[in-house]
Amino acid sequence: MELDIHAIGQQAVQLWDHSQASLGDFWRQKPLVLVFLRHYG
Amino acid sequence: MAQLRREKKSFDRLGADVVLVGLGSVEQTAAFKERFNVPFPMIADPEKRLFEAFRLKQASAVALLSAKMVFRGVTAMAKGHGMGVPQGDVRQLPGVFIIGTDGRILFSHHASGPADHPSPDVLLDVLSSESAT
Repeated sequence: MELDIHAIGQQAVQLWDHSQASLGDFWRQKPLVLVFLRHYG
Repeated sequence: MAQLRREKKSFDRLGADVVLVGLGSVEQTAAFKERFNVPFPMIADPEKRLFEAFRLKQASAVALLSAKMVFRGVTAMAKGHGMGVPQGDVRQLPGVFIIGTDGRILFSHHASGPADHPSPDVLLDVLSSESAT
């Protein structure tokens, strides 16, 4: 099943500095390499 | 993480942004970014909404305790990489996606195990091919 990238792009995300953005904002200007980490530690 | 950090200039040269997504709270994410001198923006996803949206899986207990994983952990510690108490869901598997400016997914990697991740060279090759078209 394909990812619904349009819907994903509209998701609001919380950044490390307490600011917020839509995920899609990250790839509209430049290609985005999105790296999911396992855990911190 | 160390590999990605070393290749930051290569990603910059290809005009790509790298963003990391972690399972911790905003505070944990900020602390991780500072501790490991992460040169990329980070997203805090403690409720795993993005992990689920990208359909990333969870590891089995067997995979977590495999000899390969134990070896990697010991090797990482020997190299001086920090190994503290894990924060987040230790069963959550990682993944990497490259998304083009038109919203196309140019590359996707759903890890099959905790130690399964693509090398930065693979990611750079995808970006290089895309920029050449």
